Amino acid sequence: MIRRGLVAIAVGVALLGGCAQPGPTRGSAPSNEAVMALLGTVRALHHEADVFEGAGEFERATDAVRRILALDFPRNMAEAEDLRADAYGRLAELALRRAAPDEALSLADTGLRDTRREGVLRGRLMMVRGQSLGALADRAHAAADEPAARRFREQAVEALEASIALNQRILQRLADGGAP
Amino acid sequence: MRRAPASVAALACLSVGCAAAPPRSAAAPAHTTRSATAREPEADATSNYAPAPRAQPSQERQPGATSLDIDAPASAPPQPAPPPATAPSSVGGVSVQSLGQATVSISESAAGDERERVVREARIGAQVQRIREEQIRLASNPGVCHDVCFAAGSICLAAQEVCRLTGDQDARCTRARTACTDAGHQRDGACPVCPPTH
Repeated sequence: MIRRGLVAIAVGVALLGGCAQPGPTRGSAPSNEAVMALLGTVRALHHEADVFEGAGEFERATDAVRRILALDFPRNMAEAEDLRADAYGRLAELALRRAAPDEALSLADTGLRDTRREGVLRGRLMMVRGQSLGALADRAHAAADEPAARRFREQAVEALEASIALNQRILQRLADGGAP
Repeated sequence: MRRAPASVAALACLSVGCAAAPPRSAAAPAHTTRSATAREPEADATSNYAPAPRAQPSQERQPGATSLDIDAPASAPPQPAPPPATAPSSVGGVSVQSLGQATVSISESAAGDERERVVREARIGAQVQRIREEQIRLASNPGVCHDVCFAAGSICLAAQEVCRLTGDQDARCTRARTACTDAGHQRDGACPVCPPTH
């Protein structure tokens, strides 16, 4: 009963978010109203994914987050890169929870290619990449493929150390009064 | 000659009056002294302090000395405004000394309380200033704590995974754990309370 109620709320929120979608044209400077509407839509879809993820329905949560990537972000919308990086990171985490490390690795790599800014969301993508490679190492180890397991393990640790180093730089930058 | 007895009588009356005058004029200070003496214990009872020993030399001062003269050493903290200088001089020497003793004991205790109050208020003021500055800093950069907490959390999550893959004894695990500890200190210093994730 509670679950059905939550789903109903999530669908309602998603529909409201869909109604707010303005569909600005690519290339034109998005108005504040358009940006706020897009941000509201993204937030509603993340809430929907929260509800499904909390209920253990990872496929449906994945569908909700994929709808974020399907949104038509204006080319010069400053927040678009972060919104996509966040969506790719969450999709990769959901793939890991679905025990699909190959898909998770692919999503993390796509997100890293799509993200230029050295921020916490890029660091998260690097970490999910390391976690995916770690899961692949576990799978190779379970299959008694020790050379593959060692290779994946080494790549995983490298990705995780790169993630730590990036986040340390971010913390230092913030401590020095720099922009987030 | 008839005027002589009248003059003598008038002189006698005047002399009697003059002879009677000293006891009357002497009685007035005695009455004043009693009232001043009665006031002295009142003041001590109120302040709960014994009269200060250094008030004793002040009794040798001139009767015209005011409480301002007695109570105002150069290094003393600011005191409440002294009573008008005309009041003690109209009372007389003894009463000024008694009042001076009481005033000294009260002003010493008041000075101690005043110093404590000033120190306490200075400490509170400094804390309030720090809180205000921190509020301004956070309000002017609201995204900072989100990123600080996110970055610190990611470092520790990555360190956990590194240690799972390499084993606890590995040098890379130790390095990653150190990074996690350092990040936690940085986070606690910058953002004691992390904002909600979503």
